[in-house]
Amino acid sequence: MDRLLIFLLDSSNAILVLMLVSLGLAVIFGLMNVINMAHGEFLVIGAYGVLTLQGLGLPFWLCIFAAPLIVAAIGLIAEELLIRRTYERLLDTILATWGLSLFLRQGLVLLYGPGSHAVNAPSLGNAPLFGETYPVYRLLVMAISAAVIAATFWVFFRTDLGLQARAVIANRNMAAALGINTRMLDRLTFSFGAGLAGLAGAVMSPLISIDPNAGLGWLVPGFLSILVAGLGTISGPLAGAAGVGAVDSLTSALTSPVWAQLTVFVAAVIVIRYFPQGLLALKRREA
Amino acid sequence: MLELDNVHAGYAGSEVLEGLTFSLAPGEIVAFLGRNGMGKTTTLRAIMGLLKIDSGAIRFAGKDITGLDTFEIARSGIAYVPQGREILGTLSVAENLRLGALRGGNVEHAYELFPVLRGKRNEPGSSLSGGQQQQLAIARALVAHPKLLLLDEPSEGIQPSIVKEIADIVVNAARTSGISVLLVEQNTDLALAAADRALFIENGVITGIYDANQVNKPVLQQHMGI
Repeated sequence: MDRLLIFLLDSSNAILVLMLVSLGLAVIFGLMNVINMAHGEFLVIGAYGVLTLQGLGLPFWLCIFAAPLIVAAIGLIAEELLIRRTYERLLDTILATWGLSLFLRQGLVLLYGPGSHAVNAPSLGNAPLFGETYPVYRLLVMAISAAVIAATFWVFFRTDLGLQARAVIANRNMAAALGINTRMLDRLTFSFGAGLAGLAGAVMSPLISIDPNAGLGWLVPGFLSILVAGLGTISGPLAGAAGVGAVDSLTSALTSPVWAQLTVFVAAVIVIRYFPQGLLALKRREA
Repeated sequence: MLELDNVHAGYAGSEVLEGLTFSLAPGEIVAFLGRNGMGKTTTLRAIMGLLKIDSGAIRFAGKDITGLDTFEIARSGIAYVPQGREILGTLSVAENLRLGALRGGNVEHAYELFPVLRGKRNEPGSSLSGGQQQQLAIARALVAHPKLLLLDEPSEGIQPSIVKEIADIVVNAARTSGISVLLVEQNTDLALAAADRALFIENGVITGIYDANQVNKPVLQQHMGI
C-alpha cells in the first residue's frame, strides 16, 4: 500500500507538469496553427532562469515566479521576429521553430556550457501523509501546477479575453470580422504558451538535471499528449497528458524508464492509428 | 458612407473585381445583384479586408480603410454576415452574441429581435437549425451597433416560410437605427422589396444602378439573363 501511495503521488506530479507543457503547446497550435518545436527549450530556459537568478542571490520562490516571465518575454520576441512570418504555412512553422530550438539550445551551450547543472531545492523536508512521508517541495509543485492549469481554464472559459481566443480557434476570419484583434491575441498566446513551458521548467528545476538538451524529453510526450487526445481543444491536452503520463509512470515503476518510453510510443501509435482525430474526437463530432 | 473607387481584386492568377466603383448613402439599403461568379462575395470580402485588394480605394465614414486589418474595419462600424453564416458552432448562442457585443453592445437586444435565440442561449451554435443560425449571425452583427451591415445570401438554405419573417426584422432594425445595408441575395424579389436601390455587377464591374422600384423584368433580363 505504501509503495502504491508514493507511486500515485509521483505519477500525479509527472502528469501535472506534463499538463502544463502540453497545455502551452495546445493553445499555441489551437490559435495559430503553429507546431512549436522550440517548446522544450522554453521549458529548459525556465530551469536555467531559476539557476541564473538564484546565482544572483535572489530567493528561490522569487526565481520560480520570475523565470516563466523571462521565458514569456523570449516567446514574445520570437513571435514578433520569427513566428508571425510563418502563419498559415504549417510546415514552415515546424521548420522555423525547429531552427529556433537549435538556436536557443546552442545559445545555452555558449552561455552555460554543455554540461549539466543543478538547482538547490529549498529545504522543506518531508510531510507526513497517510502514514508515509513525502517531499513537501513535490507537493508544492503539484499545487502550483494545478492552480495554474485551473487559472488557465478560468481565463479561457470565464473571461472576455478567453472568449475571444476561443473564437479565433473556432474561426479565425470570422473572429477578425467581429472586431477581434487577432494579431494581439497571437502575441499574447504565444507568449503565454511559452510562459507555461517556462513555469514547468522552473518548478521542476530542483528535481531534474539541467542541461541544454533536456527539453526533448518533455517535447515528445507533450506532443503525444495533444495528438492522443485530439487537436483543437483546450481540455484535450489535459486528458492526453493524463494518459501519456500514467502509462509512462506505470511502466517506469514496473520495468524501467527505457521500456516506459517504448510503451508510451507504441500506445500512442496505436491510438493515433485507430483514432486519427484523437480519443476525444467522438465527443465533438458536431464541430 | 461607403465608397469603392476603381477596386481591383482577385485570387491567385484571376482578377474578379475589375475596377469596381460604387457608393452607399447613410441609412440606405442596397440590393447587390448579379449572376453567380460575378464578384458579389468577393466584393464583400474585399470591403472587410479579408481579401487584400490589388488597387483602388475603399472609404468608409470619411476614412480610407484600404489595407486596414479586418478587425480594424469591423471596429470602424461594418458588420458582416457571410455566406454560410459562419456562426461559431463550438461556442454557445450566448457566447456568439457576447462576441458581437464586446465593444459596448447589449446581448439583450438580440433576444428582443429574435426571441427564439433566448431559449437556445446555452446551446452550442451548431445545434441550431439553418434559420436559427442565420438569425444568430444577423443578431450577432446587429448587437455591435454597426453603421453598415453586409449581408451575403441571407435566405440561402432557409425555409421559405421564415425567410420573409427574418427579412422584415432585419429591414425594420436597419430602418429604425439608420443602418446602411449592402444585401447580396439570389432571391431578387425579396431583395428588391427590401431595398432602396439596386446595383448590378457583371464580370467585376457595376453595369447598372437603379431605384429598386424601377427594376422590372427587362432590367433583370438585361443584367442577369432572367
